[in-house]
Amino acid sequence: MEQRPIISVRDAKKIYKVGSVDVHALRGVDLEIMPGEFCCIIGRSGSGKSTLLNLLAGLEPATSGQVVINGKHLERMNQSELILFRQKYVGFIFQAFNLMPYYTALENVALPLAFKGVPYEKRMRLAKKALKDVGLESHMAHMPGQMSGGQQQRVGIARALASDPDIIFADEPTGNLDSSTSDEVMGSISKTVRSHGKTFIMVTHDPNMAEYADKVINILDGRITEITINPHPLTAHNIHPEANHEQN
Amino acid sequence: MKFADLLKMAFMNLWRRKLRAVLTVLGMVIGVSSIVVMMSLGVGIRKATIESYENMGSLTNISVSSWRWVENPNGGGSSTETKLDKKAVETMRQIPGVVAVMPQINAYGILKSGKWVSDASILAIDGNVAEQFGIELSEGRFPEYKRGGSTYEIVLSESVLSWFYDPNTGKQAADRDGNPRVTMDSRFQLTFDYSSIFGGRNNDPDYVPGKTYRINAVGQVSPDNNEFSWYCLMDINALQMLAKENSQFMSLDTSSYNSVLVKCDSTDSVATVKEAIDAMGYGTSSLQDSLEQAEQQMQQIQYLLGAIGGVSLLVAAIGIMNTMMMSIYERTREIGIIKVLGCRMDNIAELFLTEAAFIGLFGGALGLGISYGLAALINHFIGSSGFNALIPLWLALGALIFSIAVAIISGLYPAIRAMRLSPLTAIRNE
Repeated sequence: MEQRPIISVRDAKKIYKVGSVDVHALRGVDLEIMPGEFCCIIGRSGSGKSTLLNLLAGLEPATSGQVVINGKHLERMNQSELILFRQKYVGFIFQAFNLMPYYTALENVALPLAFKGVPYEKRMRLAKKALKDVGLESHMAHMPGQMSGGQQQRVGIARALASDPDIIFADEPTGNLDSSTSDEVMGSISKTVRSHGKTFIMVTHDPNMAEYADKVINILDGRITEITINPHPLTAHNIHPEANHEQN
Repeated sequence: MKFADLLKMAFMNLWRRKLRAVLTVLGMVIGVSSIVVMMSLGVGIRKATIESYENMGSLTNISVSSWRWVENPNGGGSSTETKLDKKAVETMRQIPGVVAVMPQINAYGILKSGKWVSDASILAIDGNVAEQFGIELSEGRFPEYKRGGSTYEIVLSESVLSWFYDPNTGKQAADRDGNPRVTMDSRFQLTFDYSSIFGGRNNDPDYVPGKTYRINAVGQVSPDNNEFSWYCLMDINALQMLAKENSQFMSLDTSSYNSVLVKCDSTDSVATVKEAIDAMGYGTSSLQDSLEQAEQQMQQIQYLLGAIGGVSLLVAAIGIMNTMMMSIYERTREIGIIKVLGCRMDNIAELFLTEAAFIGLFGGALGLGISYGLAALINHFIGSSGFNALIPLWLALGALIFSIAVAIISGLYPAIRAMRLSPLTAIRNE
């Protein structure tokens, strides 16, 4: 059965003006991602990988080209429409976790649902389920400050999943974690995202993290240099115990 | 986002920074209470002024005189006279809004009681409607006129009673302890012929002494009633009768009245009735004219007091704005995060406006409470009949609404700033 791509990018360019100098962050990117794919955009810092993610998530507009997600042209939307679009279709996992420090884990997970206008009872039920999925049912009433980095990021994963989005974006989700916690978190992401059948797009500069992806998109100087398909991605079940990555 | 969630989140945001929220609210408390106390003083003073005018006489009375001042275009003016007669009084009675009309005549006579005499200013009135015009008696009843009788009725004023003296010696009619020798129960006579008492025309061959009338004191004018307490009262028909008999001593035109009092059914109809009487060519005046002037002055005082309070409210408003701006700078990243997580732009603006409104609400409510306390203190320690603080319901509610409105307006710019912040701030990693 022919499947339509959930994400389709055509000749996307992004030029930042820094003073009078034009900085070409993306120099024409073409990309298609199928529903349910677990992707990793990998590149050095300054390669344009974060810019590409921002474009895909509708956080900033492309200078030219098309970004079509779920059949919707992001380049034609204004800020309000983009927010509604994110509300409906997008979950986001941040590098710095970005949990609200004065809310409990449960309240943090329920926050995007509150923005959507989901009634209190229902959003608490959904948030509990999402926390259970990442194995934090015992930490629901904890404040972010009372949890380890790995636990906080798992709250972040639960938050991204709670509103049942089609696509989940992650910006260096393990960037603030040590290597063993990174594997733990990536395993958690991989397990929950795959079990829910979500499309997942992650940006990283760490090749070890790319091993979890089905599809690895290499980016350099604003251009996609190579797309590799990984037939045997790492999952939570086959992480090598001796795997020990360099800490950044 | 649901409104209840919005309220809760806004409250939480204030609660997180308790000290700053409390300080900002405190600024608002001072602003609101100063403006409310100032305005309550204005309201109190104004009310006292109106009451003092009401004590001076009824606000629904119009006094009509035959003289009318007509202004010229060049700034000068001239007086014209229109006769105030029975016909005119009847016409005034027909004006819509008029409930009673009372013509008046003023005359001067001499009251005698034994060897004592006293000068009397006599106001001739209509006893049937006198009460409606605010003429009050401290005892007795209003004078009546019995046609053909030999005795006339009078209502005495307190001053006339205390002023009896001996015209030959000039001695006051009081005993050693200062008690007046002439009282209400004394026998009185009235004459309009001063010469019969003080002499001076005894050599005049044409001189015929004026008649002396027996007088019955039927009451006394209330001394508290400033407008009328000066006068002795007689019935208007009785005095007209006397004036005819004493025409050589009194230059009183018995076909017309000195003035006419007109009573209106309400203060609202005073202006239209006045206009109608003006149009008849008479001069009119009412306490309401001076009250209106006084009220204008009061209003100016109130504005001034309000403006003084307003300055501190302005400072408080700037404080709110400052707090909200600070809050935005601190929460730039947080705003970015909630934008990425799908918080709508209008929700973000509403969130900030709600926070500002909360500051206004708490500040307003607390300030109002303090105002009530201050007003009570003012009234207890330095209050007097003319100077007191009064917080009517409209002022209380108005202050509350006003403080919320001021807070929301102060929060408007910060809210728009917050709304426009880029979601990218959430991604940046410092």
